[in-house]
Amino acid sequence: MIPTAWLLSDDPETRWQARLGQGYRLSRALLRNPLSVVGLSIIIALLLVAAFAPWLAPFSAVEGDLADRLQPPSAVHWMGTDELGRDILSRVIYGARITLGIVLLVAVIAAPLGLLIGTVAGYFGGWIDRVLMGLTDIFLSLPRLILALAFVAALGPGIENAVIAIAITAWPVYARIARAEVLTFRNAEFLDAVRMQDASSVRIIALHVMPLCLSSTIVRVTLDMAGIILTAAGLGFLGLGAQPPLPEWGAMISRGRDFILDQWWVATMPGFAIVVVSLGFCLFGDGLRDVLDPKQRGRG
Amino acid sequence: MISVRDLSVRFGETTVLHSVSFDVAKGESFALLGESGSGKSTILKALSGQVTDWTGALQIADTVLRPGHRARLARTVQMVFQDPFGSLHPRRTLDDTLSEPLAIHGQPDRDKRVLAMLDAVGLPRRFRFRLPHQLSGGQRQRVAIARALMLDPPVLLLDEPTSALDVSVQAEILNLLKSLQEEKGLTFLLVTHDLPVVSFMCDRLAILRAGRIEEMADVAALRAARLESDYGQELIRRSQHG
Repeated sequence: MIPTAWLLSDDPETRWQARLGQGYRLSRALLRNPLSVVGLSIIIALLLVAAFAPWLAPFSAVEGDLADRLQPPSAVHWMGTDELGRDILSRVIYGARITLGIVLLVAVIAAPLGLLIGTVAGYFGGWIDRVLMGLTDIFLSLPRLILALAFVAALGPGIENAVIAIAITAWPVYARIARAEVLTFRNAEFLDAVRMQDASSVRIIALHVMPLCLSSTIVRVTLDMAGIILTAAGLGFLGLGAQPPLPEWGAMISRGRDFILDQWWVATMPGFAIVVVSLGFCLFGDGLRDVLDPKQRGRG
Repeated sequence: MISVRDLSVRFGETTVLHSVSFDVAKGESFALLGESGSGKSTILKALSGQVTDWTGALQIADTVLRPGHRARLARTVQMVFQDPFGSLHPRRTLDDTLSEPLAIHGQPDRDKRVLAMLDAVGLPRRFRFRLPHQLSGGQRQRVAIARALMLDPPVLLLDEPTSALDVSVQAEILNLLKSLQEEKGLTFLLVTHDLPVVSFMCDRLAILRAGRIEEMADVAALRAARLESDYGQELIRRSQHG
């Protein structure tokens, strides 16, 4: 074990020790909050389930036994079976992979894009700011699901297009937040100082401006994860996201809608999975915000 | 080393500087003395390239500055800012801050030069990976001075470098600046409203009022309280009465 005193030293001897120390302080603060621990556990569980799906799932996710269709939850089929006799538990487990993939891809596309546009607009100001923020406002003014629907309709249904559509609708929020953050320090003397060292604008934005916006963006992304999952499920529900037989949770609810009165478990089980995972990201995001962004505590 | 000829700066309708001229010789310490709003900081901003909308002629060392154009002056002139809390990046360690100018200019031996500079400004080497919030005001100002000297510029612009510090720390920082000047043969252009700082640090001074130079004098005249202009006498009286 690494001694705590070494990690918490005020005078680290190497860059590594300094970074590890900061990480340790952060994780300790995070773990002090029981709700964020619950959120983190849910996310870790989701990661594990997705990683070990083939070992965890008792049955195939796409092939069913028609003789066993619409069975209620039992010792064999813990979550029951759907209208084609497929085991719902196995489908929910495999669906974790799809959900996780969507969430990660959207975060990887939308967050850096929003961060870049926001910091560039905030740093340069003037007409660049007006153009970029005008663009951002146009995207922000359209309802997210409707815009995503329009993109999917144009690009064609499918999971990749759903990811692209959600990412395109998700970045404006990050751009707005990053810009607002940049405006609070764009005239700070530490930026004057690097400008006097002949640093290029690219270098200043990437190394000096972006790191200061990073924590609020990370917090916002984590809090948005729930919304992204719901949008993806919504697209799936409308038949525009993942296509059958892919076990996407939203699409599963959509199929279960036909039997919701007599065979409630078909729609309920994937819905339950969506709720739990969304809740996990929300709780974790809240905890992360308290640690990384104390200014924002108690707000929005 | 620094030559300022007929420098005028306007912000919109208001003229902040009315054809100001002065020269600073190599190795000299020159003070711009004045109250807030007298335009003294604007002169520094024009010389450091933060304000590019001016008329007149400016020259630092061999570099002639052109209005409306930001010259690459990093190796010629650096600046120490007034507020050591605002002039350091809050998320970068001292090591990051001090090696940044070397990285920008692609210079080798960063580790060695950062450590040497920490020694030179009297900061313990163990502070190297601290963040600014783990330092006191005086220590931060030492970091700011170290950063300004990383590229060995011959000219340093000092914008009220001690006014945000405690009295006891002020003397330390002034002594540090003075010994660095003797060691490296630096030229200082100091902006301040503090007469004792001028008489301790500087060789000559210019008194600014409402964007005009009221008087140029030797520091001996200031020490003997024999400034010629009425405004200069008034400043001395005010400073003596606290």
